[in-house]
Amino acid sequence: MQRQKPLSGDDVVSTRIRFHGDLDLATAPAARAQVLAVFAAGGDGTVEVDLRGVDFVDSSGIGVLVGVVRRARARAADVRFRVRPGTVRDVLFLVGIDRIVDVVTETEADQ
Amino acid sequence: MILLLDARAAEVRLPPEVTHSATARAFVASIAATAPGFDPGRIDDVRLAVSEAVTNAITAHQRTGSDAPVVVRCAVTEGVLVVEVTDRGGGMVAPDGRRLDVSDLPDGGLGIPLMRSLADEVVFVGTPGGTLVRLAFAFRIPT
Repeated sequence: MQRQKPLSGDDVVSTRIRFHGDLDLATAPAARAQVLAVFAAGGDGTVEVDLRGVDFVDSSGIGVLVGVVRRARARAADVRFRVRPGTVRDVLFLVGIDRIVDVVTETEADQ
Repeated sequence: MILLLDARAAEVRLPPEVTHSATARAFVASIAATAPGFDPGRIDDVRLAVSEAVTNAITAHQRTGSDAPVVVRCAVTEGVLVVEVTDRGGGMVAPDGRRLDVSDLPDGGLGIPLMRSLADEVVFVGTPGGTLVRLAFAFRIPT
């Protein structure tokens, strides 16, 4: 069951991670290193992952995103993914990530 | 280089380098987009499923040290787009003779169920020295 939460606003986002382009076999190692660096810097509060600039994600990229969720859980932080409507959002729902984190869909007009 | 096999089939031979999952996606998307009657709404399904198959193929080549090309072949027949990804990555046996399982895959084995949920048919065929993955996508002409 999906948790009922405000989509934005009253929680404190301490950590923001923004990805661009394709999240795949070629880019996953660098993306994973970026995630490690962000978490090494510490912080608490909600972890927000901005995927609005991502054009494609496959299982290699999903592995990176699951890594973010694991690390956030380890510090008992909530996680929120920001996505545009389209293929990336579709893949997140296909693999069921929306059942473990908040996935907020934003249209161009929201941005 | 894209090799046109005949009017209805084409293939690319990709060096087993990580950047070429994107090359394979662009290739199959262009074939799907120009196949008369193929539902444009399924092109993303084709791109993702093929990305998974080619990712596994490239990873297998890197595991065994093979520099042979990964072959991606597209054919359009009888209302079906068929993509075959052939690798020379040693099949489901590791170089030390151990049989591989999903824990050997970089994504923890998510790619194969994704392929099965996206394509209408997924067939794995063991070949001498590697694996052939056949993905079939039926045309779904909007009514």
